[in-house]
Amino acid sequence: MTDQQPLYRAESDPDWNTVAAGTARVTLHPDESAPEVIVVSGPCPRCHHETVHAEPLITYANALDGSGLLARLLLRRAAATGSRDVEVICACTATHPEAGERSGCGASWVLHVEWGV
Amino acid sequence: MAVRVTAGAPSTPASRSRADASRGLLAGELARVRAQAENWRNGLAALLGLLTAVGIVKGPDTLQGLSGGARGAVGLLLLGGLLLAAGGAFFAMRAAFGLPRRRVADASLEELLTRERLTVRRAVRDLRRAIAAGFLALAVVTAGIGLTWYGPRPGEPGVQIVLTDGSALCGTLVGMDAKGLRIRVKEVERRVPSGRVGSAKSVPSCP
Repeated sequence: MTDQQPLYRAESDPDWNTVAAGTARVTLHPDESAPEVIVVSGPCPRCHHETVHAEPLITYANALDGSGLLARLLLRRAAATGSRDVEVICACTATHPEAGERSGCGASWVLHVEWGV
Repeated sequence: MAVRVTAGAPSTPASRSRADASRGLLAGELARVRAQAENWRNGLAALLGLLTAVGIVKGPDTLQGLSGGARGAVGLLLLGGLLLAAGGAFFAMRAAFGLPRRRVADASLEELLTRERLTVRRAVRDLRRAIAAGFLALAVVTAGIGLTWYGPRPGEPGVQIVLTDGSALCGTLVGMDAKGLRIRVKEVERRVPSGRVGSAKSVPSCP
């Protein structure tokens, strides 16, 4: 029933930020004392389908690179400070017209996540 | 600790692009780390293969003449190097290929993502351990080989001759003919007639 789904559009609306802040479930992994990834799940404020987004705080792109080590140290400090703006892009599994190979409805919204509060 | 979620700043094209990119960042991470580990594994294997070749070429005969303490030290160093090399190879292969084990299936996507992060972290840690063990093995085996070349050798092998009067001479055999033999004892060449020679044998070193 794809004609009942909203068309795929890469767009954002500040109102969606407020709606999603009330409905999103946010967890830090592996734990809140030394988080490496923020997982945001909940309904898309546009198409209302469930979606999940993983925001990396620590990456291991080049595990032995000197600058990578420095970047990771800086990232660890950033992770320790306890806040991050996370932009979530809808990645629901529903079929949206004009989505092509892309998943979701194209909507994005921004959440401000604080931990250690 | 608590997590607080509020509405963020409005999205911009740049922030949207970054969010798009970060989606792919996690996906290829484990594969990248494993590819690095596999390359390091091959490099470390070549390095340790070189050590093996050197060890075979020199062989156990280089231990001849070494003092007992030096022999023991060489043995310990080579054994230590072997164990370090084996450990390094194991860590490198575990980083490159993982180690399947039976575990409870993840009940939620969060658990799955957490497990993936931990897997990547473990692979990075294993890779670092492998490199440390590999270079440490190189250093230890090099020390062992160095000791076989330059280790203390208490004395040179020689000949001990017991004369018919009961006295003994120990030194380097210079020459021998029908009349007798010539032996160098402490830089002095001495001649011993055949009739005075009671017995003779080679010894690893003279006192």
